This record gives sequence, C-alpha cells and structure tokens, in this order.
Amino acid sequence: MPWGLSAALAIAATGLAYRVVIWLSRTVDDRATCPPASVRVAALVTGTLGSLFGPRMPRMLAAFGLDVLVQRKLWQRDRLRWLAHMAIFVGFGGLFLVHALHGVVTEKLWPGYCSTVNPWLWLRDLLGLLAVAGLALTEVRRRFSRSLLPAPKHRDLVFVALVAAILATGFLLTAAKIISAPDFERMVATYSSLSAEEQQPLKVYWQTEYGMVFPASAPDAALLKTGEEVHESACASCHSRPQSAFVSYPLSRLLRRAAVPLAAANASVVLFNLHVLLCLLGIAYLPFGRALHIFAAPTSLVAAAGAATPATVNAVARRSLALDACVRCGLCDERCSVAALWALFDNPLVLPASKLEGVRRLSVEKRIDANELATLAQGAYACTDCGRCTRGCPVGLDLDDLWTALKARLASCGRPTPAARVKTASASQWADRLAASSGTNGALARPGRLTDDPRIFSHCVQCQTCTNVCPVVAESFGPGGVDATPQRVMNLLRLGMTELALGSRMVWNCTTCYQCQEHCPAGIRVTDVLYDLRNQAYTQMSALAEIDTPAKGDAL
Amino acid sequence: MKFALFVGCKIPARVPQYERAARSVLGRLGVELIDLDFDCCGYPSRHLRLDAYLALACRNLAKASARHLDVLTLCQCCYGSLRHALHLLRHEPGVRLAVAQDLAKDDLDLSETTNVRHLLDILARDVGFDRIRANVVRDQHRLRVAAHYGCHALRPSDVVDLDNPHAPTVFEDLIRATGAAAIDWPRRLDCCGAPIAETNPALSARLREVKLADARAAGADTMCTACPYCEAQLSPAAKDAGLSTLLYPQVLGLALGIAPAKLGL
Amino acid sequence: MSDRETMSDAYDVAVIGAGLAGMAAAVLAGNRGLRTVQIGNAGALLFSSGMFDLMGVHPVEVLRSWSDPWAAMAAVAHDIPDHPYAKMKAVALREAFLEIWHALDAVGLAYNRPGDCNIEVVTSLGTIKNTYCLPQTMATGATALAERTPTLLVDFEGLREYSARGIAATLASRWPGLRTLRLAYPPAGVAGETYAAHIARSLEVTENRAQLVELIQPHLKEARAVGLPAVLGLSRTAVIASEMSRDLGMPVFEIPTMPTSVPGLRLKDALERAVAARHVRRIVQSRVTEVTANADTFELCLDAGRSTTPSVRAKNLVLATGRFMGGGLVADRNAIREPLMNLPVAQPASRAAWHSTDLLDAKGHAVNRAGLEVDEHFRPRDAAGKTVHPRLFAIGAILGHQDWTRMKCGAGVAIGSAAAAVTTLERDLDRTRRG
Repeated sequence: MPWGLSAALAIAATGLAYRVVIWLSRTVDDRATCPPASVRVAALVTGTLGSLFGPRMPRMLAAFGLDVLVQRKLWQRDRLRWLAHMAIFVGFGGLFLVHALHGVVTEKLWPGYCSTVNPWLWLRDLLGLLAVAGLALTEVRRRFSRSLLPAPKHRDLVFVALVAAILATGFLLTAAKIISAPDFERMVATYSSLSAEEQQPLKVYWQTEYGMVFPASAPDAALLKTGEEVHESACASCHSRPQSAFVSYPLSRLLRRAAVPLAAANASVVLFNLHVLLCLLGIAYLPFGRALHIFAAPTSLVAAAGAATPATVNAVARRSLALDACVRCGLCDERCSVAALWALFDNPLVLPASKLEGVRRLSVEKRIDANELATLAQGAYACTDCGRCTRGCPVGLDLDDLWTALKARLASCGRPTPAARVKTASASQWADRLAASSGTNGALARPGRLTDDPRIFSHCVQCQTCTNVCPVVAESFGPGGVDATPQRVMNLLRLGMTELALGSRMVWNCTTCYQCQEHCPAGIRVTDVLYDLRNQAYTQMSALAEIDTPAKGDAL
Repeated sequence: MKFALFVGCKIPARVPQYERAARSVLGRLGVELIDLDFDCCGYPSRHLRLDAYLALACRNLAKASARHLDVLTLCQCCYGSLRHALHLLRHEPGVRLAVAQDLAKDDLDLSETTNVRHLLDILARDVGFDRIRANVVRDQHRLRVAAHYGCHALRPSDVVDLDNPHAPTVFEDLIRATGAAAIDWPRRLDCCGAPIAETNPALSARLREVKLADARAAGADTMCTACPYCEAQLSPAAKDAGLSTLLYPQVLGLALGIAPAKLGL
Repeated sequence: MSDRETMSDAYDVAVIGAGLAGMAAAVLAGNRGLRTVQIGNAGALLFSSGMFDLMGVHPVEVLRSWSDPWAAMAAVAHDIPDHPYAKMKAVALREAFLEIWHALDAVGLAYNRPGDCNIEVVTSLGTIKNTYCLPQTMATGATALAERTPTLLVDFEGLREYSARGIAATLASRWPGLRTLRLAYPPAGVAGETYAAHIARSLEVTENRAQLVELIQPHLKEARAVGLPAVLGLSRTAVIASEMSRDLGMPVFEIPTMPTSVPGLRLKDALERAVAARHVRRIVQSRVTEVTANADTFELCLDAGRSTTPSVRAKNLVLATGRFMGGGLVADRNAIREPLMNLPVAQPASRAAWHSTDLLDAKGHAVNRAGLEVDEHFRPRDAAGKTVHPRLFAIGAILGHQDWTRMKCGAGVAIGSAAAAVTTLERDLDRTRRG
C-alpha cells in the first residue's frame, strides 16, 4: 500500500517538523530575555554545522556509539533496565532494519534474501522474542519495584500497546501462514509449475513435515518420499523448515484446530493488513508520546556531546528539546539527593522527573495556575544543585541547566527565591503583610522552634558584641545596608515584634558563620535564632497568596 | 581506621578534585573509606525548613549507624550540618521522636549512635602528626600558606569539635607537617562569604575580597581550604589577588609524593 | 576527640571561668608545665576596656586617687584586712603582672611594661582614669594628657557613645588646646551606624589607613598629637599606630571606648592565643553543672545541651567564675549564693542592706563587696573559717571584701589571686609527686 506508507510518512514528517519548530520557538526562559526565533534558527544551523564539521565531531560520534547504541549511561545506572531496554532496542530495531526494511537493507547486503529462509526465519522470531522479553521485563520490574517514589504519571500506553501489537501480529501472521492452505495454494500456483499429481505428494510432505493444515483427510505416508523430492526441487531453496520459527511454529500448533475457519476468514491476509497497518500507525505516531524518544533521545545524547560550553543560544533549544526527550524513566528521581523531601512536603515536584513535567507546563504559558506555580517553586528551591540527576540521565538531558533556567523563569513570574523575595519589600512592609494574612502556624509542632521561647533571648543585655563580630555588618555600607543588626533583631524579639524581624535584611544576609553565637557573653544562640526566623519567614511568605512583582534594582 | 565517607553534593558537582585528592591521601595513610548511599546532608534545606533539614541529615546518620561506622566528611558545611542534627537528636527529645517516625517509613532507625568527623580532625587526631611526617617525602618548603579555617567546623563549639574556636591551631599544624610555612593572618577565622553567594553576590564578593587581600598582605602565596564551598568561593578571585588556592589534601598529597594527577591537579 | 577524653588521666588543674582571673590562672599554670583544662565562654573579657587596674582609688568614700599603686595596695591591706590584697605579697603580684605582660607581648599585643606608677588616661566620657598597665597606643595618650599636648581629637560619624566634642568639653579645664574633627568613615560613606570593631578591621588594610590619614591631614594645624577612639586594628595595632604616626608626623593615640570595645576584643583574642600556645585544653560554650569531689580528683560535669565533652577530671580546681553577670554568684530574693559548690558567701545580714538608698553613694553598695572568703592561699573558707578543700581555689571577682570597679583594683585582684593559687597548687603537686 504505497499510499498508506506515504500517508504515514507524511504524518510522521509533519509531526517531527512540528516538534522541531516547537524546540526552536518554545522556551523555558522568560520571553522578554529569550532571543527571537530567527536568531535561534540561525544559531542552530551554524551550531550544528560547527559541531558536525568541527573539533567536537569525534565526541559526537563516540556519544552516538556509546550512549545511543550501547546505552552506556543506562548500563552504568541500572543493569536490569539496560537489559530490558536493550532487548527491546535490539529486538525491535533489528526487526525494523532486517525485516521491515528488507527491500532497502537486507536485500542489498544479501542479494539472495528470502524471508522464509534461514537465518531470517529464526532471526525474526529471535528478535521478536527479544523485544517481547524486554517488554515483559519492564512490566515485571515496574510491578515489583519497591521504590517509595511516586510513579511517573501519564504512562504512554498507546506506545506500549502499539509495540506489543506489532510484535503480536507479527508472530500470529507467521503462525497463521504456516497453517494456511490458501497460502500454500497461492504459492504453488505462483512459484511453481507443478501438475496436480506432483502437488499431492508435496502437500503430504508439507502436512507432515512443515505443519501445514489441509481440510482433507490424513496424508498418505507412502507419498512422503516423493513429496520430499518435489519439495527439494521446487520449494526448498526458498523455504527453511518452519520449526526454525521457534515462537511462531508452536503458536501455529495452538491455532491448528482453527486452521479451516481461519483460512475461510482469510486470516493471513487480515493479519498481514493488520500488521502493516499497525506499523504504519507506528510510523505516524513517531512524533507523539513516548514514540518521540526514538528521535529525541539520540538527538539529545549527540547534542550533549557536541554542545559548546559555555551554553550558547542553542542552550535554549536544548532545554526545549529536553522537555520532549525525557523518557520518564525516573532514574533522576532515584538519584535525587533530596528525594526524601517529597513525602515531607507532599510535593512530587521536588523530584526531577515530575519537576520537568511542571516545567513543560510552565513553558506552555497559560496552562499553569498560581497554586501549581507555588508547588513548582517549592520544588525548584528545594533543589540543591548537586547535579546527580544530570549525571544519572540516560538520555543526556542537561537538567542542571534546566533547573537554573526554571529558577530564572520563576523569578520573572513573581516567585523568586525566598531571599530575593524578601528584598521586594522593607521589613516594615513585610510585617504589615504577614500580620494581615492568615496568622501564625501555631498548629505546626516544630521541634527546635526558638523564637517562641523567651528563655532563648530574654537575657540579652544588648552589649553589641554580636554586631561587632558580624562580617555582614562589617561589609554592609551605604543606604541599602543591613537594616537591623543582630542585637537589634534580638531586641525585636524581646519586644515581641517578631514579624518585623522576619523581613529584615539581616536575617537573609546572614552567612551563618556563627561568630555571634560563639562570642555572646550571655550564651544566646544568635545564629540559630536567625535561622529560625528564616524558617518562619519562608513558611509564612509561601502561604501569602499574592505574587510579588519582580524587584527593580538590587537592594543590598 | 574505617569511616563512611560522606562526599556530599557540592564536591561531585563543582569540586571533584577534592574527593580525588582526599581518597588518594587517606589511602596512603591507611584510612579505609566505605561508600554508602547517602542523601544530601540537609545544609541547603536548613534555611527553608528545619524539619526538611533534619529529615535529610538524620537519614544519613541512620545509614551510617546501621553499618556501625562513623562518618568522615570532606565538606565543612556537611560536617556542621550533620553535627547539628546529632546535637539536636541528643539534646531535644521532641526532635528524636519526630525524626524516628519519619525514618521508620524507610526502614531506617537511629538506635545506634554514630559520630561525625571532618577530614582535618581525622588527620590530626586519628592519623596523627608523627605518621604524617613519617610519610612526607617531598617537603613543601616553598609554599607560604594561609590556612582558611572556614566557619562550620569551628563554630558553634558546643556542636562541632575541631579546635578552640577563638585560637585554633590544628590547620596550621597540619600545614607545617607538610613542610610548608603557615602564615598568621588577621582574618583567618572570618567567613569566606560562600553561603550568600547566590542571594547577595555583591556582599559575598566583598567578604571574599577582604579575605584574599588580607592573606596576600600577610605574605602568603597560597590559600588553603578544607571545604568545597570555601574553595569554590575563593578560587575564582584568588588569581587577581595574587594567590593560588589548594585544598589541604592536595598540599598533603604533594608532600607525600603522590602524583598530581591523582590529586586533581 | 572530646568524647574520647572523658576517661583519660585527670588534669593537674581545671580552671572554671574565662575572664581575666581564669585566663591568668591558665597562662601561669601553663608556664609551669601543669596539664590544664579551662572551661568557660569568653564573656567578661569582651567587656574589658583593655586597661589593667592594680590599685587606684582608696578610700572610695573620698575618691582618693593614688599615683603609687604599691603604696595604695599596702594601705588597703592595712585598712581592709579581709581584702584579697591583704593575703598577697606585693612582690608576687609584681612578678605575676610581668608574667602576664610577657605572655601578651609574645602573642603580639603591645602593652606598656608595668612598673612603679599608675598612669592617668582620658576615657571616652572625658573623665580621667587611673590605671596601671595599658595598651601602648593608650599610653601615648596618657603622655599627651600629662604634657597637655595640643591634640586633635577625631571621631567617626555613626560611631555611637563616642563624641570628640564631648570629651573636649569635659576636659576643657584640665586639657585646653583640644580641637575636634568628625569624619565620615568607612570610605563608602554611611547613612546609619558604624561599629568600632569594623572600623578597626578596615584599618588593617593599608589603603584604608592612607585614606584616613588623608582625611585627617588638612585639619592638623597646630596639633602635635592625634587622638582617636580605640579603632587601630583588631590586630597589628602597633604597626597601624606607628604607620599613621609616621604619615601624620606626630603621635597617634587611642582613647578607651565603652564595651564592647576593640581593646577588649584584642585582649580576649590575645589571651586565647596565649592559652592555646601553652597547650591548655580549652572548652568553650559550656557550663559546669556539677562538681563532685572524689578522693584525689574533682569531677566536673558539663552542660549536656551545650557540650561535646560530658565531663573532665582534675586534681585541683580553680573557681574563677566571676560575679552576677557571669553566674559565679546568684542573687535571689533572700540571699546571695555560690551556685556551683554552694560555698558560703560573705554578704550583708539582710537583703535590705545590699544597697544604699542613694544610687550614687560614694561608699558604694555592700552587695558589690559580697563574695567568697578565702584563706591565705586563696582557698575558700567555710562559715567557721576552715578551708573547705585543700585543692579548691577561688580567684578574681568572686572574692568578697573588694569593690573592684570603684577601687580600680580588678586586674590586680584577678592576676594576684590567680598567681597565689597557682603557686600553691604547683607546690602541692610537686610534693605529691616527690612522694
């Protein structure tokens, strides 16, 4: 069906082109700072050419070989997953090259190619079985995984179903053909010039040795020898024993009883059409869902090797690509060094895979609401930039870079880091805002809460030792300098004016060097109190509904 | 001498040479290092929420104690963070209870005790100066080193335990053990500014500037640190200040005759 | 490290307290090779003005000021038989002072060498104070005062509790020829406040000093000395003073400021270094919660919430825990007690007698003279007058029958009692060693 293939290819091409356009136009970054599409396209072209014909080419080739073909990164992270994926990769990929593209690939390399001859007969089944085993292994691993991390959402079952169906119909087709009398008749008519008398022994041979099913009665064993001779001269050169198809053949045994009704229903034709249709659907589906990883993952891995550092304009495109190239494997989640926080915060967006999903929604602009933005912000700022997710990603996504871009984008959306957010208003303004909002989190029983306990700060005598040894105060000059020195903060607590302390610059500029606490003659835990104020401020500011306008200029 | 090595987040991401040098040096001096699957020490989370910080820190303590190992940290922020968690666990019953419930979900518990040590501490007290000096083959007499102690290993001294917080000598002693000269400089105990590098870059840069200038004025040619945050903060500006930076295991490694490549140099 | 030390050999001496008395005891013990542990925060030292008083005012009722502290000491010993000075020998005190002076000199803190006389200095309030041993940079000012040198007094905008004009006005009759200058410094310009310690740190940088000199230079006119608040570096003070003097062409001196002052910070720093250099085990950020006297040693339990060391053992115990602010003495509605070992405290018969009704009563207040009574070796005595324990000592401000702030004898009492205690316990340790 050439028109079918053309249609599928057209859909695939359009879809992929659409994807590429998205990679070049969509951005994680703030629209205002992002370069225009024309600049990005030009940069991509020059960048790609520069990489392909430049000094980074060997690294890109190596990446292709090691990371795409051998999947070294996955091997290093998780052997079991590597095994499963490699089985699918080799199995399905092999089938695609050797079987689907036999006209372009196999026949050119082996001019004597014939699909029903070994090694192609058992090879197809082997590759198919490998792919099926890989799929089964992924399902088993998923079912028995004891991870406490949330499972990635939005599993692409369409993709899995397509792959499984293609494999299944492939086996069934071969099985059906093995027992299909109509096919036998057709083949004999097309490829031989046997007379009816010669056909009879052949049928006997095929029924006995090759598993064919004929509606007639049991074969006459006497004709077997003759049949074998006929077979040798007319068929054997193109037909290896179907038992070599070690999956399809047993399958055909199971279907044997239904051979006649299957033949009547033109089962092999139906299955063939179905099989081809599914393959065409697969091609058309390439730009969508999980199928895209076939194109996007190698692109990402090769681009990772070829990327110029420091990141150029193309980094924007790479970020956009990353959002589609992510295969939701969750290996980043397993490596995340603050993974334990997701349960504590009840926020899966602490974890890289979910966070990436959040970034994707953010980059599509209107799809994200204030609550989601807050959740995404919490996830973004819980991240410690340790880079483990990046080092663990089997498709070479530069997650480090993505999270940095996310933070910049959040800042421009009015959700900057807490320390930056504080700067948007003075301490008095924050005090008013926080007092006006919901109030205290008294219900939260937080161990170590210091600022509620007068014993902690009441014996401060305002000697100013803490202020004198504070490096932040020492280097803070000018009008924008520190607004409340450490001893002033203690005084605010003594006066019961904690809210005023929450938004003070001192609390957020403190380097936690502990000089104040070490020197205090009254033994006051000055730094621990400042930490406590930060924690309180963070919780209360996060609860504030309104989004801040970005700070103009930089107050110290 | 066997410890669970706590590498932390900052070193693999930004200062991998520290780990490499530390492993080489500790290996040469007979300290065995066990690698456990640690989480973040919790230090970056402490300024957001105390419970988040404790959740992370205590998981690590539980993992180490399950294997009956003390923790050896390379980063001083990790050291301070884990020590603080230990301190809170030991002295505030409410904390212990809350944390225990949290850990139980992951089949972790804190029934055993563990201790947390820093690299400098281990070298000075467990390995000892005699052993270090006995292994020195290449005296580093050409180096004039300003030791940057960092903050979180010295203070607050009821939580951490490296040396006298007002007049420490251990880092200079360790430097002299390599044959290098240890310079006395006024700002040696001051903060390098790393913790506010992202939130207040201007102030952070000033803190760094005055430290480097002070070390240079005191006659040093090298600034020596024992923390990746300090190293990452000081080294970009060091050259302009006329100094080079080295991590202590790199200096020690050179003195022990280990190849520079194995020290990340 | 500390967790392993608890069961190690007992120290020769444990000093509780890190004020001047405690630090002096640790330094002197260290000098004699005694294994010493010292527990306590660097608290009281931070409030020091940097000046060491030996004996300044007696009797306090008439505010008689003495220029010969040794004569004053003899007078006090005669007039107040229970005063700590009555139990000390002047010779021993002199030697002890020199020992401390050497220790400070060795770590780079330049004080004038203590000698025979008191010295008069100007304070930041414009008053004149009598002291015995003081930083070199202040001693230069004392000379200027004595010679009434025409001086330019400089102050800094935003530096609280220090006014050059105030000083000049108060001193007008005693020291005419004082002019004043107010500067906006640090160089970046300041809208708010500035703190002495920060100015001091910034003056450690040569460029900043040069800038300050440039700001002062045009205003010198006929002045032949320049007086600054005590901000000439947290360290390297001598270098800073001499360079500025050279560049300005005249002596530059420091005037002591209100606590927490830079000289106090310098002193704390220097004493910590001196103690560290003598390998004294230093436990900071801890309070001793309990003391148990065993047969040969004392066992000191440390505050579990604040200590990485549970306890230490020592053969001798020196209490240098100070008075009310440091927690060496505790006052409730009824009485004053010594909280650590419940030692009897000499005090007025009733609380009503603690204070005079006149706050500024020239005689002072009886409560300030309360404290521990000791024998001639500075070992606490019980109510019956018997020495409580042969190896327990009490030194410094915790002692009764002295009013160090009014009498200007703080450093002398601290160092002298520390020396007496260390001498005794060293002798006793020797005796036991020799069997």
